Amino acid sequence: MKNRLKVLRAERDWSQSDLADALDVSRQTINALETGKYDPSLPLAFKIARLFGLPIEAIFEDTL
Amino acid sequence: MTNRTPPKPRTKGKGNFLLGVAGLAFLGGIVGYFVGGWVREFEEGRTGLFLAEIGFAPSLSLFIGVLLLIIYLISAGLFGLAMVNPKVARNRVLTGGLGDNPSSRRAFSSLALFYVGYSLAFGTLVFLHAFPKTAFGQPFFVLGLILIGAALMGWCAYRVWKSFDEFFRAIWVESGALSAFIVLLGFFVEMGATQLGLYKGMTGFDWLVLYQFVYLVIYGVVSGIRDPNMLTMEEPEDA
Repeated sequence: MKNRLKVLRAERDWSQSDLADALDVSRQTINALETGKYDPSLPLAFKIARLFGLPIEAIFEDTL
Repeated sequence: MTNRTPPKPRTKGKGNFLLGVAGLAFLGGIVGYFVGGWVREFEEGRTGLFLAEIGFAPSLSLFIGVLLLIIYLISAGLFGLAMVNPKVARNRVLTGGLGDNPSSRRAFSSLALFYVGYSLAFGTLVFLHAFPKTAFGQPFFVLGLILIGAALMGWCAYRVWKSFDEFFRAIWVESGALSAFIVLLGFFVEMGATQLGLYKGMTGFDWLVLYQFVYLVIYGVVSGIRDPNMLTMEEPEDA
């Protein structure tokens, strides 16, 4: 699943560690999300959306 | 709102990873050469080792079992060290890809104890396999060591599960499921061959060693697929 995490993070000048700390996950999780190696669970997706103040669909793109 | 496309981050450790694999393959070749020579002497009855009494397959299991035990003991030490030494904690090669972050730091103490329990339980089994004729005055004491080790493993695995975030949990679950399925397929083949008299069969210890070996390989494969930077010593550029 494609996502705009990296772009949104860069706009706020956050490192992967900063984003990971904010979401209470590991930096590896953020890296895996951004590279498309891992899709977040629904709770984590909602957490990400709340953090950026955007709807989930604005961050994650369904590629099916 | 801008829509910049950041440059693709380099995976610095890919060269180191390939070099490590090549090194391991080379070492494996050397070990295989000597094991092959030893097997030939074994079959010709020229060795005076006690291992000749228990046969080739159990000897191979014992050899791999001892290697695994050494890995577990080192792992216990490394995770214990990672609890107090940030440099070790940051080294993702030494910490199995976890690195130094809040989620990983919560897991280090549990992982250290997990490997202590693992070493206790599995180490006892390795000893029993190596010296099958040893008579114990208190056999239930030896069984108790295995039970304590297994209980410690179970408790620590629960704590590690609670500490891990969903990404590491996914890797753990996928590794366990895939390795169990592969060993299951092997079990079908082995059981069929044994029932047909084509093969004398593997012992429980042989299967235990085989499963652990398969699990370690599969965990590495799954981790590599999910996180190509898993085995880099340094953090990626935009960390």
